[in-house]
Amino acid sequence: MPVMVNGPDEARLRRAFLEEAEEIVQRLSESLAHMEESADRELVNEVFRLTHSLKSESALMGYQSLSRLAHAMEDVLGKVRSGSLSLGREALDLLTAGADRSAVMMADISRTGTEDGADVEDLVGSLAVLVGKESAPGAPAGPAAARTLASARGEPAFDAVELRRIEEARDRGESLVRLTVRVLPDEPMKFARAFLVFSNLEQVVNVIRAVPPMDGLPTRDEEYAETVFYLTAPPGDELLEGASRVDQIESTAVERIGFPGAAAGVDASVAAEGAGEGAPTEPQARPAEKSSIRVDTRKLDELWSFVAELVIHKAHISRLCDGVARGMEAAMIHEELLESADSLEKLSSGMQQAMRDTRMIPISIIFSKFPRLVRDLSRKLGKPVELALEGEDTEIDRSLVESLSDPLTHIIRNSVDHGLEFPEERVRLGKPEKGRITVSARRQGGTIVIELADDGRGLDTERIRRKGMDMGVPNASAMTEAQVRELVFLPGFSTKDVVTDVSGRGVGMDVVATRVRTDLRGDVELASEPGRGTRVILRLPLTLTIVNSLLLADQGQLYAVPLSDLDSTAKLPAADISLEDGAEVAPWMGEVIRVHSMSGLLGGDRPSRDEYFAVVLRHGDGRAFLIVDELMEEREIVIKPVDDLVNPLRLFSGVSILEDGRLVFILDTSFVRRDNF
Amino acid sequence: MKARYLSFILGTGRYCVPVEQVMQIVRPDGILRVPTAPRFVTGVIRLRGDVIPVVDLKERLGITREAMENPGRNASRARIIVITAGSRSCGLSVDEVREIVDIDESLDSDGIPEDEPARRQFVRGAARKDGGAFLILDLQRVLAAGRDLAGAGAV
Repeated sequence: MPVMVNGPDEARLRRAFLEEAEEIVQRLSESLAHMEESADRELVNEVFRLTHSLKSESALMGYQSLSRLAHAMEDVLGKVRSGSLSLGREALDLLTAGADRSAVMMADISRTGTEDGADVEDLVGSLAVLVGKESAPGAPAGPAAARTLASARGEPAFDAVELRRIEEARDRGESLVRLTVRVLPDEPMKFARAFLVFSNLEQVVNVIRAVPPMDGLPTRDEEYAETVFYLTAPPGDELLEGASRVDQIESTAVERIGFPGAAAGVDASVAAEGAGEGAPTEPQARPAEKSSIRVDTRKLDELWSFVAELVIHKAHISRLCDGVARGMEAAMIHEELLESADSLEKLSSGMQQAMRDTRMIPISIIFSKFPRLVRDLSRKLGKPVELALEGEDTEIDRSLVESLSDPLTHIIRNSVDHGLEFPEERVRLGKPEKGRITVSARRQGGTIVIELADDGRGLDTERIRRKGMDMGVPNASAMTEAQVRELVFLPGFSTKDVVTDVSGRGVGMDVVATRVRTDLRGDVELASEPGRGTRVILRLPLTLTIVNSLLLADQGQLYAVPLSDLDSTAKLPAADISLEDGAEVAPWMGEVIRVHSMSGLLGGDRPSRDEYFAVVLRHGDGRAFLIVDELMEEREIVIKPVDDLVNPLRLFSGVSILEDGRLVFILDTSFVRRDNF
Repeated sequence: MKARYLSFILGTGRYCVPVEQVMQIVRPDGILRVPTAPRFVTGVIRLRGDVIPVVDLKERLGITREAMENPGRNASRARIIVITAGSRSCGLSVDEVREIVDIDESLDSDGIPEDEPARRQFVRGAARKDGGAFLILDLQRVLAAGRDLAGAGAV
């Protein structure tokens, strides 16, 4: 029964409610986001508690729609908790939508004081449908029993292909099932019966392995008295039961078992606790190892239509081959081939575009979480903070999103917690009372640069040095400032003064460094000025991306400069080049800029000519000439990572292979700024 | 504790790498030359859409010209062993791929030739098995591309 509140108390109560509820929804969103990665029992419980609190709080305040929504979410989570519903994609999506809707409603309440006009029936309905989808009766006796059986029995060693199929199924939200089928003892053709079940199963689920195997004719029919099928299936046993409904079958037993390869004990407990149906999870896995991404089905449909067209063209070409064999006229073949080549070109560029669309996503998907994070931290720590976001439309490869989110969050936490001073201190130092954090992203050639800057106290390098010496880092006492800053990235280097974590999730800067350097093949760098602030600079390669570039040739090798790093092309007369402080320079647009040559960069000499072909490279504000043998055409190239073994000078940000098999190195133009003066 | 290794031949010597780091064995076809790479890198190959460097192991290990030519050597047996180390993949060109051997992990270093310091730094240990000696490669070192190499690629 809602308590009706009127008068001056109402506003105060509402404020208190909103503050509390906002916090709940914030945590709810965060926990749900973590669930995407791993849904262990603790998380499920936490989310359940949060929805429960939201339900009671809002009911108490008389916000019935909000309360109804929270109630519906709680119901779903209750089922998940008890193990009768699996936490699949659909459930997660609905719960996340619920959390988002709650946030919107609370914003409305905060503005208008009422939730009037809010419609939650769509979500409440969908959530209720989900609750209705609990496993049919006759499901495994109990998750705990299934677990014992699984460990007692021992799974077969799956081979690589089988593991791959299992992994894919897991990513689809399916679980691994052991289906044991017993044929009646007096049945004379046991293999035939088992095979019937097998072929039925193949219609509806993926059978990974059968023991004894189903391919080929059996040597001993008796072996098939009991057949065990390892298969992957979506939640629910109806399909499996239907498939094994075959005459002369004595019994079938369905057990959901843990995924092979998951950390020992973890998968079993999740399978047991989360659902008994193997929620898609592998809590120990690092995100870089996860290779699944979510793609809008419309984008997939688009790609699919291209594939369909491709199949048609393949048929056309096969027909032409037949034509050649039958002695078709050369002119006609030529004409048809030209036509085919033309369509294929259109098709491939269309596919490229569609593929890129599915992979690239604006970085705002990560950045959008930050205002809330900063607001929350700011309130918790009593430090007013102004957050500025820049370059939110910068597109990144979506496979980076998951791996990037945590390190960035951690760096921001550090900034608010340790970087920024308390307001009194700031005022005393003559700084604005409000701390400032700037997060920016930009594309620089084949690299994404993300900068997180605060205007706080900066790193205390002496303190870090001392800590380094305490830890026994060799030469810590003699290190340069830059080297000392690098110590922060050492594993185990977390002094209270340098890096801790507000929320106690215990991610240190070493984890940030590992994530960025190893998993994302990028780099992270710290810059700091005492009293002025700290900057963390992340440089990330675009692992798979297509960049419009200008091709260059030098000494028989092809190079490419992304157009974004290219200012212009130029003819540079040798007479224009002069020496300044030992460096070659030349005038350009009223400035004097450095002159490099491709051969010079590689350690050789610039060839001697009267006039050179050159490009004007750009990196930030820096400009420089680069002399090459030949300027070629502009084209789109697919950038692949380049190993340091073939890139010892770190001149290249990637490599590409053209369709004619030639190798192209993509220039990293950051040396332009490095050498500029 | 025993571990499994893939053994192979370089010149007259037998070497091996941990089996779990071997991704694939391919023929040494389609190697693209890379002028910017150090001498011990033959070039790159294309494997499942990735561009992977190929290390000339003999050059890398400093195996001398004389020892390089094994009279029984058959060029058609040359292969590239594609290995992974951390997040990197790399091809190692070898004269011949041999069998998988079980080797006791407690290594003795007696078998490592004392007189070849260049080779020694890339070898993690030696093992005796069936009368032969196997040198176990330290892949981390073989693939090191640190600052010591800067300039090595100068043309």
